[in-house]
Amino acid sequence: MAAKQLPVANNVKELRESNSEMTQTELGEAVGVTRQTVAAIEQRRYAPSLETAFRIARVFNVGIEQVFEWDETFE
Amino acid sequence: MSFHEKSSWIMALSLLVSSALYFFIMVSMSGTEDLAAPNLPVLIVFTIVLTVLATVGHIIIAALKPSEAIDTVDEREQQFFAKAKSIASNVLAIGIFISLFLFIFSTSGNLLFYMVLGSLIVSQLTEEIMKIVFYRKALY
Repeated sequence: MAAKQLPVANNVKELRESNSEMTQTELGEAVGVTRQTVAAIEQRRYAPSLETAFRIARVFNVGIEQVFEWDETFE
Repeated sequence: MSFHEKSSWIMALSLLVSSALYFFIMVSMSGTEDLAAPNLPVLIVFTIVLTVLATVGHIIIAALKPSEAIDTVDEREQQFFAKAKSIASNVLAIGIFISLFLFIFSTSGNLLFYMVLGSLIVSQLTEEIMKIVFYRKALY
């Protein structure tokens, strides 16, 4: 059974790949979560805490709104 | 699979094996009509078997991937654990309630002991199984 997607979309995978092909493990270590949690965020199965969201944005040197956004098409 | 998910598998299996062994021994010691009285040596064996299985299991998974063994529980896992503990607490409360209810009618202290012990085991098993379920299909 496929897990339900959350309404918060993100560009974590794209940002990770555009930053020297950073791995999920490397990003996880940089922000203090496991590789599995990074994978869950990318697949929209988990919405990170505000602190972790800011930490992710800081890793990529972008604003939080460039990483996370509300999916208007979400029902 | 993260170290903590593997840990939950080990705890669940260790608990299942040791408690099955414990109840098998106690049932074989019981008569056809009377339950055997709680037996301290058997309880000690149960505790030792559980501890040994859990310890050996954790040593094996840590040795297989030492880098993961030092992983701390992150925010997502903390949510899994809290939710699993909450469900397990409800299971324990229901088990204790049923145990007390049956005691009123049976007045068997032995039955009360086994029911309460069984409730503790089922509650702990529920916690580990729920953690695995949440790991498998994410929370919320």
